[in-house]
Amino acid sequence: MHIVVCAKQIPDPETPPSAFRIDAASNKVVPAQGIAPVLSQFDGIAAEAALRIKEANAGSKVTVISLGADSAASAIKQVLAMGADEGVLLNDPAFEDGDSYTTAKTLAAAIKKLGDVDAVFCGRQAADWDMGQVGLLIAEEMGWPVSIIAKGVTTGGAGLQIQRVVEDGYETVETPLPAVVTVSNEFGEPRYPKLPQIMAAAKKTVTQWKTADLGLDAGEVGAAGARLKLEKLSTPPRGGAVELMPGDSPEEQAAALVAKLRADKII
Amino acid sequence: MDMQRTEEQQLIIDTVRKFIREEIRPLEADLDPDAYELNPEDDERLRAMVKEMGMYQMGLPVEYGGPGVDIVTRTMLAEEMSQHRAGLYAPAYGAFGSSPPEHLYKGTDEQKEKYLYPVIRGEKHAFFGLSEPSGGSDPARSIRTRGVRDGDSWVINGGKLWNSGADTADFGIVYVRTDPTKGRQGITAFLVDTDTPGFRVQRLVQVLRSHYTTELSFTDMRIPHSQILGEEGGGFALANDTLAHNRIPYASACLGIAVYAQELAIEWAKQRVTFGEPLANRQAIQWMLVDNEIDMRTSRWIALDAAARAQRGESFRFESSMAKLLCTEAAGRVIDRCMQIHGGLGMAKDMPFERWYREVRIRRIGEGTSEIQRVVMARDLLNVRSGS
Ligand SMILES: Cc1cc2nc3c(=O)[nH]c(=O)nc-3n(C[C@H](O)[C@H](O)[C@H](O)COP(=O)(O)OP(=O)(O)OC[C@H]3O[C@@H](n4cnc5c(N)ncnc54)[C@H](O)[C@@H]3O)c2cc1C
Repeated sequence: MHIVVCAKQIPDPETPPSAFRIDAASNKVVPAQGIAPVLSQFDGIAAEAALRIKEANAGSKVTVISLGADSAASAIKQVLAMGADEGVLLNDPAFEDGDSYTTAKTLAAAIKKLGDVDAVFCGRQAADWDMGQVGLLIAEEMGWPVSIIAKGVTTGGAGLQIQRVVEDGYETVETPLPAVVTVSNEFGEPRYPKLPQIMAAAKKTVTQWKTADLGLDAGEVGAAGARLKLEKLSTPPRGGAVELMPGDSPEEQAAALVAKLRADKII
Repeated sequence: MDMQRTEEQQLIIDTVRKFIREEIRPLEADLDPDAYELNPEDDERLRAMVKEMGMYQMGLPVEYGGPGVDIVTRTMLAEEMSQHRAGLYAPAYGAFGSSPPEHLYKGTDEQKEKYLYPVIRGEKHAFFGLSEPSGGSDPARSIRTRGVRDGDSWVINGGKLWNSGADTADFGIVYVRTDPTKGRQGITAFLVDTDTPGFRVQRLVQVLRSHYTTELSFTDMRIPHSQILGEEGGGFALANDTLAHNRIPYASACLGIAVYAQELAIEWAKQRVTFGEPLANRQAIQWMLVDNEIDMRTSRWIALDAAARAQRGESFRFESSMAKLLCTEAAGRVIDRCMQIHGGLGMAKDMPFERWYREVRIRRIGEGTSEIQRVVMARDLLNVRSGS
């Protein structure tokens, strides 16, 4: 089985709020000084899901693809260090400032170019923009079935058996291959890379593909092909206010708190 | 000169950093501020994780079954592993294992069977017995522990001071004067089992850090001649280079706590408002933070330079002394400034600073004092026997 893991490099979510800045003129996040970008948390989990299937099915292969700048090669290397076999970086100035649609279109073009792919695993959403669209749109581009927000994935039945997180538990679905799966944090923690695999990963060359390599047109990728227009990016105003819950006992205070949260439509 | 991390180094560093942040720091929330070990279950679980990662005893040479991670990478990793409250003296609470005392590699095959391999397997623990009440800076002259040959063995009388871990160790490397007429060449290193009759832990010596040291006494302790490590009279010839080697990660571990302290101080300076402005807007505070950065970056550079020279097989004794001196003193200044920026909170046991402040002070004494590092450098610089 050949599984593709889509991995995105994002600003470190652990960046302290005080180091987070937005450039209002360009509507962009200013990279925090001295804080290296990281692999999106959910993509590491998707990689873990793919690697477990690889380990359970001899002869399987995992390829990691990332669309991003030069620095995204380090996100690819991280997944290679976890045990993935090959890495492809989709790196072209033309890809910049796209949206979920162009990202999915570009990734799908790379998946088609690889040819023999049986399944694509994505994180449930990228931990920077939290859109949760790319996995679905890749499936659309490929014409494949998609199962989202998985807490478990194994081979079996028609192809893959997937436990999908739903509001009050989970449901088990079966999908034929090829298919797309998006993996959620309920799946569990990704593994730590092992030293020998780190050494092997460091020696591997990451393949680089540009627009032309994918048979795409500069007009249909990146900013040129984007369908989503970002109107305004801003940080939420920060402030604090304290409201003490009335009540003579913890029980009364808890009841007052619940009533208040309900009234404010928080729960 | 190229000080860029290789891709491999970066991946190892990222892995260790994640481990410290996600596995170690959260546990410290529930530990006593002075704890230097984990509860046994966590300890076992984390060691098992690290072994699975192939990162246990990273400095252990390949020929002894270890990964043989090079000195430059280990210097970088020492800075990562100490980035938590107990990190200076208990990096990752020992989850990454420790390498055996370098001297043991110089032992005979029999000694390796008896001591080196069990230490590697974690079955035996060693202490290091050089310093005595009569002085640690100049052991060649100050060692009074005396060994007298009697047939196939030596009878040893005297004592040692500051022996970390001797009360729980299975054996120690003990420096003994075996020929009073020969000065430096009259000192011999012995492998001494702690259950030898006449060996006694006289008292536990409490110090600034949370883990005490010991004072030992030896009374008519009979040690077979075969327990000599290296040559008779060759105690100091043993492992001179390797000791200088160890000084480099020892130095960069100090930078780790400085890095973490600086991170906390920058955040605090941005949050804390006085007289209507965050501390970060005050030049007095800005300059402290900048001085911290200067202290850390300059000393890191020197430590990596020393490690790189050692790795290339060049002479590095001067540089390793300089690194030890600079890193330990720089870290002391950084911690001190970060405490100042935190005000009262900087003194609280809720924060790691007060522990770092105490422990980093020891680093200017242990492994050769700052003055002794200067003595070593002066000897090199002036090509004289003694700068003292
Ligand atoms: C917590 C802790 C753990 C330790 N663990 C161990 C251990 O496990 N095993 C072990 O053998 N030792 C250990 N030591 C001992 C340590 O190595 C010695 O304390 C150190 O070498 C200094 O020796 P000293 O205390 O006898 O000071 P001294 O040698 O008496 O020096 C006193 C002062 O004089 C200065 N001085 C000495 N000579 C000169 C000179 N020529 N020029 C200028 N200044 C000079 C020194 O720098 C120092 O400031 C430990 C010490 C501590 C505090």
